[in-house]
Amino acid sequence: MEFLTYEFMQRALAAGVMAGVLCSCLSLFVVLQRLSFAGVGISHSALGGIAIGVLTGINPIVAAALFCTGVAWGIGLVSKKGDVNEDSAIGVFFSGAMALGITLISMIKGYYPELFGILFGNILAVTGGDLILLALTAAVILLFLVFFFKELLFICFDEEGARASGLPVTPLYYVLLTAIALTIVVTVKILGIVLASALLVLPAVTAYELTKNFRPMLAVAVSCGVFSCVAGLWLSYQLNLPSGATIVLCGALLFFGSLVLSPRHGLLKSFRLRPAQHPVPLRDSEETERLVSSPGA
Amino acid sequence: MELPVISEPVVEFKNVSVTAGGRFILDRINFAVDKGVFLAIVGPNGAGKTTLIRALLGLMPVHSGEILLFGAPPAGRNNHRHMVGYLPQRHRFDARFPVSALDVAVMGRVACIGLFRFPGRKDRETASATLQRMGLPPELQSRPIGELSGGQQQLALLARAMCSHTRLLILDEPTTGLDLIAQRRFYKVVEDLRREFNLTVIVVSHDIAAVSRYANRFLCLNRGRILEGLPPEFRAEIAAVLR
Repeated sequence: MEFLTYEFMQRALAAGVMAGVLCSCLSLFVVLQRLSFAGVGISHSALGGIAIGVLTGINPIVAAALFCTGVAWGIGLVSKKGDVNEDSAIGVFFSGAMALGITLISMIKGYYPELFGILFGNILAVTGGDLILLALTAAVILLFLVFFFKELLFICFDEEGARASGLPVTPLYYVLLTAIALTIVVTVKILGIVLASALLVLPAVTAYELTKNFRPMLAVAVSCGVFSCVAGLWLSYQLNLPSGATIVLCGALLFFGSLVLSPRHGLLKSFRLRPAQHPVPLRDSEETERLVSSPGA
Repeated sequence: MELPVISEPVVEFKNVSVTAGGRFILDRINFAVDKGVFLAIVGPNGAGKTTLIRALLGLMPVHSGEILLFGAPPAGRNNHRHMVGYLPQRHRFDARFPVSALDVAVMGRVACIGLFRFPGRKDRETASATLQRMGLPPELQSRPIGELSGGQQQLALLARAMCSHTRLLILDEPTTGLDLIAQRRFYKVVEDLRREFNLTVIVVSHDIAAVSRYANRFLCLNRGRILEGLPPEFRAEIAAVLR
């Protein structure tokens, strides 16, 4: 615990835990609504927003937040209204925004030292201001998830059924995209543009392999997200590795571990499906015979 | 909750046309469905059956004409929306979605619960009782939806459709992919519910044999138009089933 004696490490740990909780909770809906690739697209488009911010003198985080939200809405609009499918829409926005970012960066005169940190992330450079921004964003997004949990779950399960029930499906979809965009922007400093979307996918897919219900899935996802951040930070300190990449590697290792232990198709399943432990239920076949013998019943 | 007394037709289509991609999917459709009717909408693939249902639910805009659901347009803020139970086609669902049969039934309460509120114990009890009524005992209710048989999954989704103050049940190809036994069991449950609660039931199906045992009205669609009377091959099929 020696590493926690440093103030920058305490800030990094606080940022890691907050980002872990926020990203894991949101990752549940990112995975269930199949928005993982959208998350990748939005995070890469942050480069364009940051470049606009640097060129125009606007705070790069504010510029990136506005730009990423615009890209997220653009992806949603084109894929929902147009004839372009979601994957293609993400591909177009993702590559277009990256190209814009690279072009604008080439126009920046002089050296901009923070740009490298934004591209690859540096959790050790998190400031008190960054922590406050992360805490406020996390609070707003987590409140949204708590208050609209049942609606979001319904939409992820059956969008048309939710629409038929009168739920505000389209507004909630756009708010979810906005939440993804804002989460990516506030975690860019921790993981970098290239890896920011990883925490929006890994915790939930790991939990998805290990659980069969959204309640334990959420608990496992949050545990995995926080563990990845804390373990990644500690390992990066001990082994002198880049912190963002180590955090993501920890998350990826947990996922591969979950594939082995998955009750769906991992080693656990072969333990659980021993014939003696799962006798064939007779009730269904009895009922089938009754119905066959009296079809009108 | 006191339910309003409905005296007018439950569903009315007045000269309704729906277009998509510049062509008419539904062309001047006129019909009305009264309370307690079990209507089967039949016809070949591409006849416009699902479009008719989606227009009725307000999920698709109409090109011309008027649709009335409990006397009001279905799109926008229809106060009778909680009285409509809808069961979409089964292939839309991900069988690995991490919810139990009870969670699925509770989703049917979401519209009644309203925004910024959480499902309570009463909502779970209502959902559980509805599942029990469908023939799914508590030990099956807690199972993941993907671990139930196709027939049991449909019954869980039917429970979801019945969990609000349902007076109109709309089923879109509900027995596709089910074996004969599961089909009969499903329609038997629907018919029992109709009799018990005086429900209006609208079933879309391309399988006329499956619905003909219970439907008391048929509407045959072909190329977006209502056919006057049933075609001879449909009549023969119904006669064979009822023989």
